[in-house]
Amino acid sequence: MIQISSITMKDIRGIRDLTLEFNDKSFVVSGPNGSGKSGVVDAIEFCLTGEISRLSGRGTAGITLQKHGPHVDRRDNPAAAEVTIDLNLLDLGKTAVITRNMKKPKELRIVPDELDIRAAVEDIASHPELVLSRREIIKYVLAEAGERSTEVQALLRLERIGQIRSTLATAHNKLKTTRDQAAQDRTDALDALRRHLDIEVASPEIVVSAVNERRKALRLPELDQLDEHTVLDSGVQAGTVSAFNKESALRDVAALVAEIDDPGGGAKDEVELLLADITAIIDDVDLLLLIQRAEFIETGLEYVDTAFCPLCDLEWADMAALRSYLEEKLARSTSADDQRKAILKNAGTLASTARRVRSLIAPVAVLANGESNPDFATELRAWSEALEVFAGEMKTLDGIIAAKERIEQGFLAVSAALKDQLDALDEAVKAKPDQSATVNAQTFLTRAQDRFVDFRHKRQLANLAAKAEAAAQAAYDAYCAASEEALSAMYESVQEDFSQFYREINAGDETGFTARLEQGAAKLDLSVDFYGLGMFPPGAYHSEGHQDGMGVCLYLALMRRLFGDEFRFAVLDDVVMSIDSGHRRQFCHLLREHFPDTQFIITTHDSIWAQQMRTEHLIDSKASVEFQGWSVEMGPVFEPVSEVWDRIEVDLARNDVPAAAARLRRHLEYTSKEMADLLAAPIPFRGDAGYDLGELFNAVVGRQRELLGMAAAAANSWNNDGDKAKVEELKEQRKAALARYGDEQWVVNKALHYNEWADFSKADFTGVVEAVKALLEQFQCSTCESPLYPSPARTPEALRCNCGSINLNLKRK
Amino acid sequence: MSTIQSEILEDFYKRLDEVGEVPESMVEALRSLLASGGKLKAEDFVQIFAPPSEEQIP
Repeated sequence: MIQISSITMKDIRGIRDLTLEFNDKSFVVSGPNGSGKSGVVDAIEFCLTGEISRLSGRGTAGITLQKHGPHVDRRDNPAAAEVTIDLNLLDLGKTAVITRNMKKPKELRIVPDELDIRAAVEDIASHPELVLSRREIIKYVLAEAGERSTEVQALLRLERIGQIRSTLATAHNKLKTTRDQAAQDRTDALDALRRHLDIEVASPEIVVSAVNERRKALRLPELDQLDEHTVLDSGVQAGTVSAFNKESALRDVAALVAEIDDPGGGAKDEVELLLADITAIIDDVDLLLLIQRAEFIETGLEYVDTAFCPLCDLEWADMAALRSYLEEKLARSTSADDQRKAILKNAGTLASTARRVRSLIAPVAVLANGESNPDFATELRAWSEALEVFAGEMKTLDGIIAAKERIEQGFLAVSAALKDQLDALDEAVKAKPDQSATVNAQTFLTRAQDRFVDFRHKRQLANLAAKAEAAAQAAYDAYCAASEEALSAMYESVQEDFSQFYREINAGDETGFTARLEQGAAKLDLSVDFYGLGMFPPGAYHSEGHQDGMGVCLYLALMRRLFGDEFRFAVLDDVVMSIDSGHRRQFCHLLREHFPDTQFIITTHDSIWAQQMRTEHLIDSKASVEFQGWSVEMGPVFEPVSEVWDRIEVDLARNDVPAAAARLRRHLEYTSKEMADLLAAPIPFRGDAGYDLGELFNAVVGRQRELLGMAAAAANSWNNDGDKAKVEELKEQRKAALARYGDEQWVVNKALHYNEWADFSKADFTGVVEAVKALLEQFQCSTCESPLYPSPARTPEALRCNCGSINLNLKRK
Repeated sequence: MSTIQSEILEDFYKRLDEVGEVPESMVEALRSLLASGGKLKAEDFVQIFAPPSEEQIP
């Protein structure tokens, strides 16, 4: 993982030439809308990944990185746009400088260009989720379950899991088809052997008995058993007899004639059901469309192997998104799909029958050829091929519908001419003189051996195909079990972290909050508790602010699951804009406590929020920049100082007392509100929330006096010398700070009620600044600089700071 | 970094070792295929599981 030490941006987006020093720490960029903040985010993303996500995706037709990535004045000169980042590569313990130029966004210059550094930087490039905007974060919360599943899968790099699972399923289905066909081939071969041997059941004993009858006639040794090495015609000299066996030939012809006489092929029920279904879907155009769509989508799914839809060539954000969309669409036409499967099942029976008849045609075609009737043999082969075509048609709905008439007329029906020729062949064979007992026995054994070999071969193929199918099934089951277990555990941990983070942000408000992430087929349902009233979709009852909070909490939980302790860097672009002030403080606390080593680069248009991040020590006092405006020529307009006292000093150095006074007053207003909230200072309620600075300030000072009084009373009651001394020290500091004003009331009157500071001279105002600064500082811990606050706020039991160096008991004995 | 995918794959291979239907040679072939990280095709899996072609059968 990386952290950024500094970034230099030249002519990229709204920025002309800007360097920001992050020093591997969290940093905030604030400023009004249109001041160039997002340009910084774009620059970071561009340098790390070679992309700017807001210039791609939906709604960005006609926008390209090379044309619109550079500053508008440099739109015809992309080479002028360049970003350089000084990186700290934490895992490697190395630093590097990376530079990316808009002219060749795929090329990354790295100094030093070492293999491990390049690998680490390229790894980061594969994690665009480290740069997040509010728009992207909220999609995890408010998206449809299917879309959420896609987004979360993409975020966690889970596309491959789905891809492996579906590819394994497709492979298994193919092997299942192969297994079924091989099993049928084995059955047909066994039937051919049985027919030749003229036996009903082909058990080893019966086969051996039938064979030995002929072997005995030829005075050949009888067989003891039947195994894989058995040669049925052993002892019969090869090539001395023809392959023709009259009795067997007649049985072959009779078997084929019997099939022709039953043009339904013994699949009467299947034919009836199939014809009824075909008629129903032809009559119901909507149903037909639904079924065709399901079939179309299923076919498309099989061919998804890029982000381009194989059905319409539309480009998607990624392959997972496309796959998920098609799977969801397929699931929506479930009932139609069920009907389609029933049709295909019955059609499959017809296809099997057609293939069985082909196995009967083959020996008869050979016979016809041997009987000097090659034209009939050709005709039989043509019929066989037609049956193969018919079997192929039975695989698709369109093919089945097209074959309706043929099915109605009997899919095995043949022309009268062919039937006549078959009868003629039968007669011709019958008319042949009977073979002598010896020839009959010889040809019988030779033909039996041929069919026995063929059967053994088909059986071996069928066994192998069954093993392959079983292996594919076992692999598919194992992969599903492994992935479901891992994903369930993952979503459970994400759900727990998400719930905990959200409870922390909303402490005192939604302490019982829980969430549930449930994965279904191609979807990921999220439901959240609403004040103990039940579990609902996040958008059902929660406010926009709460949804924002959920979005960022879910994102953080997912990041923790994805990176674990290696989650050390993220860019959050205006992600918590709808969260109110009180919850933002908790949000700072959350980031500080749970992700203390993570560098967050945060942008916000809210200067108060930026200040809160400093007050709450999420960022160092100088780790920020405030853009105050923007121009095409100059880019963001800003001051390099970020701490209010530094800024006031700059104002005074320019002899600009009004600016310094305005800044000090705004700071006092902000601090007073923050302190009033933090200390739970009692203030008369105002319906318009327009609290006067004087009211707030007086309440805060009064509440502090009250809390210190409680601490002193508690320390005395417990006779705790340590607390007594600390309270005394704080009281002294407070007294000195107030005394510095000379007169507390003077401060209130002049500074807070009447805002007369702007008329002061620089010398007078410098004193006021120092006095206010000292007064505010005594509200803080001198060690960690966090405010002293009562805990719990409204029924306080302790007065403490963030680092724990101040922790005064407020409860008396 | 350890990913959910690698966790799943390791568990997958472990489960395959425990079932009789998938011989060790197939597991190795699967490892090799899935480690490549390339685009997966059903035919790749079919080749691993499938029986030898008809000509190869004695």
